[in-house]
Amino acid sequence: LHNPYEYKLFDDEDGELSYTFESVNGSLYSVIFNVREYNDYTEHYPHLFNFGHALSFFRMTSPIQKSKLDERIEHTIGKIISDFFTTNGNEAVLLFHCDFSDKRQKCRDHLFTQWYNNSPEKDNYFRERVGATVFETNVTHYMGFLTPMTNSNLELVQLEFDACYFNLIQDKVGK
Amino acid sequence: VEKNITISKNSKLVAFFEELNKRKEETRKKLEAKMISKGLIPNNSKIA
Repeated sequence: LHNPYEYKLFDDEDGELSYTFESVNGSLYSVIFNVREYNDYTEHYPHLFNFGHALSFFRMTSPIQKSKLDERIEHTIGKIISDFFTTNGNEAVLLFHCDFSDKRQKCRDHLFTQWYNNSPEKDNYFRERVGATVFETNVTHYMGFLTPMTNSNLELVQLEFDACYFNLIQDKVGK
Repeated sequence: VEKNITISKNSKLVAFFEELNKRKEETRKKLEAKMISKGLIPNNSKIA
């Protein structure tokens, strides 16, 4: 019904794999898988460190014309992610966080949750998402991971992810 | 699975998110420069 846009490999360099596609309203989108982005934080968690990739998604150009919600975009991103797992194996883990530089992280979280819930492949993937609200400012940050349900290390990945963010919850030393 | 937690402003998690945002911005800028050099986007494009 909502066939994905054609997408192509833009770059595969320096541990970074990026794909691009253009929507009908003329916007150029990019989906990036980066193998090292979280390494500083996952080095003590072997499944996250060895199989983790950071997932990013950008709209690189503004639309030529305004249009209604384009469901083909989410289907295209879903297809790119599905192909990524096919290529990288069921043990691969996609780590993500919602950019908050424009304070729209809640919208992003809502959108990604909606995409996941609407995906025809939803049952094939396990997704954990954590919303962390800063008590003093009431600002919420979002992060999580996505991996195939058939990942033979799924329980370990969950344990490592929970241990990783639990460690990060602690206060900085000296505060 | 969705979890919601409350953290302190002194939590390392706050610094973690700030660092990840910085890295994401660097990734975006690097990608933008490559796309401009390959003529995929104009160098005055407005990134969304």
